[in-house]
Amino acid sequence: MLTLLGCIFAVNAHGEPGNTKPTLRQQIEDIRQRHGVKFIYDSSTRLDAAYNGRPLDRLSLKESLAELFNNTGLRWEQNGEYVVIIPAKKYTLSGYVTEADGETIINATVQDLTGKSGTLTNEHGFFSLTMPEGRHTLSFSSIGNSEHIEEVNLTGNRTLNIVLTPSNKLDEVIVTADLNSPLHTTQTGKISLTAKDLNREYALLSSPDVVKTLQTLSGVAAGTEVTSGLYVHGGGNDENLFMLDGTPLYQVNHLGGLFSSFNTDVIKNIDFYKSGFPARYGGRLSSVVDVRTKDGNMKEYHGTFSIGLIDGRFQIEGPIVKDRTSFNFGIRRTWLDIITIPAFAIHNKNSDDENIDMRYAFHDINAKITHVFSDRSRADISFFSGDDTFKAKDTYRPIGDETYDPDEYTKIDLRWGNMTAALNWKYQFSPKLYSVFTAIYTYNRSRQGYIDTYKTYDGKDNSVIGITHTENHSRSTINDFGARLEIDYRLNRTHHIRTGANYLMHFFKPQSFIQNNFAGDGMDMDTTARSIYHTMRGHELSVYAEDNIALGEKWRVNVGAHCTLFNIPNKTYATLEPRLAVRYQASDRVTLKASYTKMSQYMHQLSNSYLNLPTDYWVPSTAKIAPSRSNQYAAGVYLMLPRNIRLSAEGFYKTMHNLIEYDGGNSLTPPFENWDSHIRRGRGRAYGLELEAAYGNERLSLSGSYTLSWNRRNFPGFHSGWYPDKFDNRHKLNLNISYKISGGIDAYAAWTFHSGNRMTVPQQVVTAPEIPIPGDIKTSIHNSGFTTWLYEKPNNLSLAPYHRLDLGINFRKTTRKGNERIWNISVYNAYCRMNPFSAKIEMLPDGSFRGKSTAVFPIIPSFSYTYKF
Amino acid sequence: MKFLNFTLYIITGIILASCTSYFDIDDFDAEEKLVVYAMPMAGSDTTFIQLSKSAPVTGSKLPPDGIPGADISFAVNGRQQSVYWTKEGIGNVPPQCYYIVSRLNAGDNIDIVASADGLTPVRSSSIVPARFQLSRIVLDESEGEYGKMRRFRVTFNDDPSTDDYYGIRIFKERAVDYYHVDVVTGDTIRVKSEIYAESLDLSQEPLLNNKVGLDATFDFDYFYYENLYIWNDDQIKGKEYTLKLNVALDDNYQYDNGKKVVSKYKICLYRLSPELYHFLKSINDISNNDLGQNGLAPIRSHYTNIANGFGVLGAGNLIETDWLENPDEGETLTWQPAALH
Repeated sequence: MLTLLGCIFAVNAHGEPGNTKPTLRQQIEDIRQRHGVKFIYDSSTRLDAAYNGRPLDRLSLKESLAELFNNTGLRWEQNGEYVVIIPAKKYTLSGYVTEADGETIINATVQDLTGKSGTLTNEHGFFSLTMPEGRHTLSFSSIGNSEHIEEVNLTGNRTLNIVLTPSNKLDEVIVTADLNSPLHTTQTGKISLTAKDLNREYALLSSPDVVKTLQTLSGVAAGTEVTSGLYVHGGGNDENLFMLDGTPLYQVNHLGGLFSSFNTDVIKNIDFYKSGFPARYGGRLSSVVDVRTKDGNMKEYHGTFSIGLIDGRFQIEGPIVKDRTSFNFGIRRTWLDIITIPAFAIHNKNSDDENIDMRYAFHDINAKITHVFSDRSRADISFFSGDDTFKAKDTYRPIGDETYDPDEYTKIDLRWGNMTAALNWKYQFSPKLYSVFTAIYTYNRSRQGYIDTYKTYDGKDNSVIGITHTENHSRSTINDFGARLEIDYRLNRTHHIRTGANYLMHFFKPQSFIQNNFAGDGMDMDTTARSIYHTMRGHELSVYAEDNIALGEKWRVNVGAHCTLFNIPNKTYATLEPRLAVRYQASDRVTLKASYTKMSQYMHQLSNSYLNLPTDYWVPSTAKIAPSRSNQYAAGVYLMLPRNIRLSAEGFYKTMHNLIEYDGGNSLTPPFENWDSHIRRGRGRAYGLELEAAYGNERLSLSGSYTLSWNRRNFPGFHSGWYPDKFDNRHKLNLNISYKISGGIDAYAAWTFHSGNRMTVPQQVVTAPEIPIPGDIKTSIHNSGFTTWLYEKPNNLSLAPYHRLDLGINFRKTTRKGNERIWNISVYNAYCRMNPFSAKIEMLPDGSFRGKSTAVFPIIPSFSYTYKF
Repeated sequence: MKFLNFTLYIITGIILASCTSYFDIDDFDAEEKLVVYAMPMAGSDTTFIQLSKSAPVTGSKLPPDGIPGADISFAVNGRQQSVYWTKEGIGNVPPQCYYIVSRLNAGDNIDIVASADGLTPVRSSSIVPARFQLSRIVLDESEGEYGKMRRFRVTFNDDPSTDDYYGIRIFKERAVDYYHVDVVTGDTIRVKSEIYAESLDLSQEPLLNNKVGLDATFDFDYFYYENLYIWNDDQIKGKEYTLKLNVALDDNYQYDNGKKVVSKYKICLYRLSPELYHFLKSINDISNNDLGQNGLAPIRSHYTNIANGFGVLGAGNLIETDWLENPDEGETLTWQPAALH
């Protein structure tokens, strides 16, 4: 902290050389004395701004006046010896910032270099900047693209679309001027990632992954090793709002969490918030992951093909009508079943009595069509499907005899995933008013089926003499239909207003279950059947408004509110969530920020494990189960040191109420029957400090983050008093380096360290209790002498620290046709640190005790090949 | 089921491929404390108290079965009761226990204070709950997954005005040998008994068995401590309800000399105080939490209402049937409350 404070003073000194420039008022006085004119102006006219132009002493009166009031928002008129100063007319410049291929750029910086005002493109690549009439020098930039300078003579409202060209050079000017950097944004806890960021990170099994990239950020715990857990600022894994092109997703994992459901080939940008949530987001307590996909190349056909150790990806994009309509299509699929199918075929061929078929596969399909009607109107339709399938079939027929000839058939079928569709129409009503109308549909499902039939035949005539059939099917689904309106209104340089409304109609079928068992001799059958079917409907209406207000040059405030009405049978909840973020820019290189947010969550994932099981299902708040709430305070300081070195320190304090956890024993699938009676309710508290540092130039990129945090829970029915959360990792440190060795080779390394996850282990041994029995039961059944473990406090053991090193190297080669080939070699856990996964206490023969921990994941090498065309 | 075995082989392979290490537990925050188990029951004239002390895992000894010479105060509605010690056990009072001879009634307030071995004194209290509102018990047969089973249909009424907690044990009179494995020491002890509490098949009882999805597929076991099956009235508030509990059918048989062998059952029905229910539920939840033992699910704390110590003072109200003869094949036996003690 002392180092950081030192940096603040040093950087402040560096950034503020001393303000000795004259003000407009002083210059007016000079002109008045020099040219003998009199000035007339309204007393409210602001003339204390610094004059930044050339010296006026050698200029004529008219030249002096023109120079003095250029880009000041003021204009002048001379009438004899009188000079009247009046406010200049203001006009709005608006448009889109795109890549050369027509792809809109999110979070591009648009700056009026002369007027010192600026803005960012929104999530649709649109900008709007209101400036005084006259000549302006505008800068358009974004990380990864060259800065574009445009001279504009503003004599009325104007539309201007800008194309930026890629650049590998990481220019300090661009980085410093990036209005999306933490140095300039109003919100705390916002991190933006582009497709390049995702593909530059280390990738488990050489498959870039959104959630695993987010896991490396400060303030985020990864959960159980290799799974795609996301525990942000002490929150739960179901407290993250994942949005794909504005559509909420429920299921974001494949293969038990080994991969997340986002194909990085189609992703354009991710805005991740862990505090300071803008009012336009709501519905989850702990984080927002706003994923935007590419519209598709408007000019040429391009694509990517990649194959890794267990999955393959294919993506293609291009124009349907050049510069008007584009498409983007991506698919990712495992090919593990291509191995398992022949493997089992060989097994079956060599087995006389048994046939086994087993396969697992997942896929993601993203498709998007974008059409530009005009400069003011464009629309897109997007579709996503992510599915996991596990199927197994076993036919077993051992050799019987004359009296007994058995035959068993078993089948299991698991399927889970999401499907979403969204239709967006974006319309610019005026240069200042941009709107998006959206219709969305989300389908989430988890399905499981099991059949086991055991038959016995008479060995002589092959007639059935016995049959036992067990069959059950369960299914959990959510269908959401919704509509959304977003208004982006840039009133003037001071106010950027966003408002809108969102309506979702939820159709829940949390648990349908059918069981059909029968047994008998083939003629006389006994049947037991059971079926459970639940359905309910919910309505969720939210409205929001936020205003990003510039209060002078240094202060900026984002104030807003998110209001929600949530209706389910017999209950309607209404919440008002205030949001506030304040930024103080001490200098060009030092910024201080603070925020307060209140969040509510009406949807909860019932889970009895840390495993991201497909059978975990979502349930709404009910009349018995109130929505979860959180309050979070965050504050930070952000520095830009010379040589592109970025430093930040952010602290947070978060309280959570009405948290719910499943409390149904050891069930893998929580039963929906009376589910809200099997819920424990409690509170949470998390706080911590996050430090981040980053440096980058065109070849070398270094970053590091450290988190010191506490994460506590209080569930009265579970434990009396506060106890540490499972992922209460006191210290977390991430160090990353990537280096471009040559034009064709780049390498990267990432070292992760965190305090171990927590386990619950017994602390004492006690005698086993006796249950009283009636006096006339003369029994010798007594537990005397038997002992049992005593669990006194949940998560009372911190496992040994977790650390690992991941390495990777890319070999790139560009073909004569300009296509690119990339060979990737990655090593997970390069020094094979066996990180403890679980622990228990065991008794030794001498009567003493010791702790025993188990580790599972060793070094895992992987390889992938990518072809970009 | 073979493919399930195949899946288990894969999982087992991964676990075997994993590596283990050992860590020091000397700095564990665990203090020796008094342990009290007392479950006074209306319907029984004897209450026993197990008094022991815990053994922190930082040490190297097991807890004693009992602590003689302790100072124990046991009061019913404020009136002190005489407390006795038995080393060898008397009747159904286990060895190395204290006991009180006093008949309890619903609504009695019980307080206990105990101190021993210089450990921090402990105290607790509990109120005896109302009687189990039994309507009838019917013994008949039902069809299970693997053939006919003996079914017990237990019909009772729930009080709509209170939160109620229940338990049932079905004792069977039959010579049996079984093995008890101590969860801490791993010792296996052979137990011989003429009477034992039946393990129940709950497949036809949704109040106690609500397995769906993977749990129904794999039919994971859920064990109830000492085969005392407990439930609360969340789903049956104020209603009459019939439990449908199955056990393996043990047909009566007759020797060639005409001697008939008939199994006998005794059904014990408990109304539990909230403290006793939560204590037993915590034991069940923890012992059944295999995922939690492997770090893959939360593990709750053991419930206790013993201030400064561990254990439970949890009152109950116990009713029991006579020994009911196992009906012959195809027959049904019905027992009305009047026939109950």
